Amino acid sequence: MTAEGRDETFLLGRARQGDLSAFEEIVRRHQRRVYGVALRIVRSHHAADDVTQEAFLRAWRALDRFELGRPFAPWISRIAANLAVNHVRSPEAREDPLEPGPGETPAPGGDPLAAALEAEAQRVLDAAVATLPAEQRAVFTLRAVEEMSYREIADALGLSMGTVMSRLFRARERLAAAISPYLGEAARRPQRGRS
Amino acid sequence: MSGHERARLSAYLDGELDPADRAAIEAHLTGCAECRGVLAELAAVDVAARALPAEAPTGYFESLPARVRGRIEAAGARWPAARWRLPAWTWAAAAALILAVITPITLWHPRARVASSPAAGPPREAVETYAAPPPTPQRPAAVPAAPEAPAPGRAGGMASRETPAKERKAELEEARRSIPVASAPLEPVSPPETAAPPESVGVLAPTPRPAEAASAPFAAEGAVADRSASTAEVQALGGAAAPPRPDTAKAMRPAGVGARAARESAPAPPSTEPTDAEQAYRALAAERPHEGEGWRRLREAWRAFARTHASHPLGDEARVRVVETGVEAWRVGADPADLARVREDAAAYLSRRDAAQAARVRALLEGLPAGPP
Repeated sequence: MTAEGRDETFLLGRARQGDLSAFEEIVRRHQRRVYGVALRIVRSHHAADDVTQEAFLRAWRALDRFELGRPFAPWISRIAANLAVNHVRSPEAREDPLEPGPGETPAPGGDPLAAALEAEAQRVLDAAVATLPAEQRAVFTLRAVEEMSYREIADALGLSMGTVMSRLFRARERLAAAISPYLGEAARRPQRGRS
Repeated sequence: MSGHERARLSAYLDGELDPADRAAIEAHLTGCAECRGVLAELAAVDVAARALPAEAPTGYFESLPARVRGRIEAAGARWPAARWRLPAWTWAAAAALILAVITPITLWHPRARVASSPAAGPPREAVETYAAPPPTPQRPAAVPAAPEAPAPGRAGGMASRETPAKERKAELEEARRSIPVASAPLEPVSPPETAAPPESVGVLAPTPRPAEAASAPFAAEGAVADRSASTAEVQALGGAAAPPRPDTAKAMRPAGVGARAARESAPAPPSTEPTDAEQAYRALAAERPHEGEGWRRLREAWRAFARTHASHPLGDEARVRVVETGVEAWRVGADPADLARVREDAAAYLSRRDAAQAARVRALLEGLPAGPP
């Protein structure tokens, strides 16, 4: 079947009936998001690849429990986040620093100096994210990047709302401290302008 | 401002405060430049984090959907927990129920037989009642285990309820006779005596024994697929880390008679290639060597996997991993021999007509130094 352009609910319904092509299209649509969640938590391509594949496998196996009509993205993101956190917790996990590979180089901006500063700020922030405890990193990723609510994060990671709040704040505080020298040039000014 | 209040700033940023707290924070912010600065910093962190690249190597996303599909097919999960199949635990519960009904019967049999005929009698009669029709009398027990074919299981269960009446009748007859000679109505006819004990045991355990599983593909595959599917549901929704292996699948069944019966009666997973390949794949994929020699060993392990499972859906992924781990070996160890090997392996892969992930391998080559080492 040609799944391109099909409604997601339709595709999920087909997938539940065993249509692998439909599920392939679902994977195609959500793979970047899932991989992004995984990569930000596990910090290595190989591990993120494993987590991404496993997340889709588990989603496939649990499709009959998924309520059609609800958004698939938060569901698969939660599965991926859980797997990623568990991966990081596992004793065999080794957190390799994320090396910029093909396609990972930040796109240059119009102003070379601003672009250089931004690239440097990104590098520093990236390194700071890598030093966060996995639990904080997961909460931060799900909130800051995936924009999940505290309730959704709490449910996804099996935490209390208070724990989500405190971990998120601690993560933000550490990251803000790391990139504060760059905020004046890149991000802080516009934020202050709004406040 | 205390840490607790700063944490509330973070929650305020996310719109997670109740109206009263939110109003209090807003009132505070109007008069506190420091907190406005903190709030701005926290917000800036989010903005910057969203801008962080989370890109995969070139070609990765082109091949991922097919690889996921390959793993689904390799795992044998042709259906995502098919709705018309009953979960494995229901069959275990059915087994427990049958066990509860049959056990007293099996306990009655020896006494009745001794009284009527020492060689044969009610046990075989019971077996005949359960399984007279099957063409292969040694294996009727495998039929109820097949989720796709629930009817025979139900028929067996109903037949089992008929048995006590016949046995009670036999006991009454025996009670009336002091030393009865085996009478014609009670004399079994069809099954050989050696068939009786396995039949009885088999009926009590509704899942096929390993030897039977091999010769009963529908029953064996269906049972295994159902168990892995239900386990995966639990894991996916509950977020467990371990991959759905048969042993963890058993451990995660609900406690109780049904789960216990399932653990006791569940056959070992059939050693089919997909299961072995999947497990071997996961073991290799979990390895994270720390030094060049480790990556070389992993590269060769992937090569062996690719050779062993050449036509398997995971075979293509393994061939790519040979190249990938070769690149890692070269990056970590900086040995030109590894670089040369990467080029050889990549060329060999790209020359294949079934190279499904050529873009991914080309991207790996593009990341290498130009020209021969």
